[in-house]
Amino acid sequence: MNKKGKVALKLKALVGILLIGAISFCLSSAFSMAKEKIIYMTTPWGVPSKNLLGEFEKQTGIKVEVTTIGDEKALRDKVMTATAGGIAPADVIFVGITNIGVFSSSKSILELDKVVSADLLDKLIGVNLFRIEDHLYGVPIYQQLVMIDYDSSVLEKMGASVPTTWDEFTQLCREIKQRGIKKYPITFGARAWSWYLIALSMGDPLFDKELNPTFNQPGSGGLRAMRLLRDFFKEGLISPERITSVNPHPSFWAGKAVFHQAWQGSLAISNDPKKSKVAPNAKYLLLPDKHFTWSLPAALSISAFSDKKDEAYKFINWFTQSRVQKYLYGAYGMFPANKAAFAELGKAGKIEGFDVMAEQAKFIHPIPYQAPWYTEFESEANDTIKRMVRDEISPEQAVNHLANYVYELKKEYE
Amino acid sequence: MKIKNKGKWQESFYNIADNEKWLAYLILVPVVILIFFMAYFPAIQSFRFSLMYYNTRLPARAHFVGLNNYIKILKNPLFFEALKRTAYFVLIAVGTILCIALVFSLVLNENFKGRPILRALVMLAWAIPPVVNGFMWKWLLNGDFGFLNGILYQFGLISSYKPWLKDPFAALNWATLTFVWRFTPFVTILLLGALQSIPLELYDSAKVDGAGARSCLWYITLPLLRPMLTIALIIVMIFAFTVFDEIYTLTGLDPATKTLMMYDYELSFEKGRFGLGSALAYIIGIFMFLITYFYIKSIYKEVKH
Repeated sequence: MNKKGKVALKLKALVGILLIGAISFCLSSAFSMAKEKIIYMTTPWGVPSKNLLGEFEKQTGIKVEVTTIGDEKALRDKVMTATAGGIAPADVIFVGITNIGVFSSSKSILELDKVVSADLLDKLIGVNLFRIEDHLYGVPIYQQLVMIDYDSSVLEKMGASVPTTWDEFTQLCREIKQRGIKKYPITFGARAWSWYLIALSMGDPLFDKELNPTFNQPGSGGLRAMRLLRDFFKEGLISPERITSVNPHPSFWAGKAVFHQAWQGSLAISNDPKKSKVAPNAKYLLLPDKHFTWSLPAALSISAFSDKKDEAYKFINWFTQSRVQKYLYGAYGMFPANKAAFAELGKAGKIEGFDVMAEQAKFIHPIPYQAPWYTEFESEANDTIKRMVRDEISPEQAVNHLANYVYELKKEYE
Repeated sequence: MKIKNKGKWQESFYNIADNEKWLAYLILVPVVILIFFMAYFPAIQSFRFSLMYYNTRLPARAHFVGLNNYIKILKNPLFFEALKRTAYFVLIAVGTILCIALVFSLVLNENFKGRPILRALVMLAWAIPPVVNGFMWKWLLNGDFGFLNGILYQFGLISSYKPWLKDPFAALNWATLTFVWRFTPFVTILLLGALQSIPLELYDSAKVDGAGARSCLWYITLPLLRPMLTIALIIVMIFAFTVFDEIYTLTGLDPATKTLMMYDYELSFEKGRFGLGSALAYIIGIFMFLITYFYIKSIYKEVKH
């Protein structure tokens, strides 16, 4: 073969490879388009079972690919990065209330007012939590108050009554530790949520109506809560491990603590002997002092960049049906946003601790998650609390720093 | 003859293809396009962001601010704290890795029974992905259920489980260790390769002249390993400077282990400050450029040598 022939052969081989690539790409695209497919990006506690997803596919012909992201912060990072690039990270996005302000202000998610039917919204609890400036950005899938669980068997053995103030709570925990019943009686993470829990229940709303901080005023609940949290760590009532592994749940379920920052519905897990050593002794505690708490519900939203909005809405509609909602409660302890599903669970006697929960529901103070700067504040609060429990700064310095940070953010976002 | 019968365009196409230089360009085109979109386009885009106020929460307010982001970063004490942590991390990691890898490579260069198995075992840590490595260490160091606590407690070396990551300085040291653990095998293999290229005759003649093992190491092995040690040093420095996965999985965005890369991640993604984050990325890029410059210079020096 002469030189030209060799070159021609090389070129033909190159063109051949490109052709094969192009054909296989077209075939795979055609195959995937034969069935409609949407992507659903969620945290692990928003995943329906494979059977349920299979049923949805049978009913609608839409295949759902689930992308599970470890937590809401990581999910936010992915959505925001995709938004910066002007692409959809998924068609349907799980939106915890903590992310609603960020996603709506960055236009990552669609305004759903014209998409979602009034009938569907009537069936759900907590719709208004996902409205910002009269626009709906998410369809609620579960409701969730932040609560405290405790291991009632320990209190019974000690003959102790349920604490109603933070002083009683602290004294009881000290006694539990001193008597060697549990080395670390409390499991709260070194993070903003633990601080909110204590501060709100002490009666400090944290922010006023103009979203100015109230937590830095002398004698405020915010400052006292910061001190108490620091003392919990200092006295060894909380494991130092909670500084880096802030998730408080595994330690409680492993039977290593008595009190646990939990959520409405958490007893479904805490009292499941397959998942928790505390079962069947976990009970809800009405938060001490002034009892206030806040709500951490979640919704499903449609990506503003999705080209499968109709299919995405069908999925959301299906997700709010009673069967799926009850599955989420059974699997992850997430209370249904669907009123009918909630009532059915109640009738079936599957809602544990209903009395305390109903009482707790009377004391809700919203955290301003709808403010676009709020996640930045929370991130700073997490850092600051870590530094405080490590004794790098005092509680006073912590609240003052956070208050100044709020003012800076507000100024920038005005 | 067949080619001559084709049309004019085909003729000129074959002429281009006949020229090997043009053929090489032609074949490279898809790769160059790919690299442009995967590497250079994002780099250009992020340089543009670095000159803008760009907060992802307020996309409509994005505007040009010149070098303001760079000035803001360089005036921020958090940047210098992160830089200090990074410098410490790099120094400790590089020093430890080079020392351990040198010892390992010298041992693995000797002839003994089970050497192939030991070599494979040494490589195991390098084969573990960084994220898995981070999670593995997180589990090992867990203060409630961790393996390290379990072992030390069983042997009576500690009276109670220790929170290894509680102290900020300890947390940074543990993070460094996770990196050392993963990177040591790589450097070991590099040095082992270099050791095996040293002619044995050199050692034989040295022995004839009465040189002991220490003299051989000092006057033959180390001088001949120097070029590879320099290359290994610079490679490890680059990777240590940009380490992210291990620290993120081990301690998250804990202020105690916030190196420059972690700080950049926090600015860009946690706080949505793409403008500031991009500026910091370019500052890190400048550091990396300087390190790479010395790296390439050392390679060329070695080639001349």
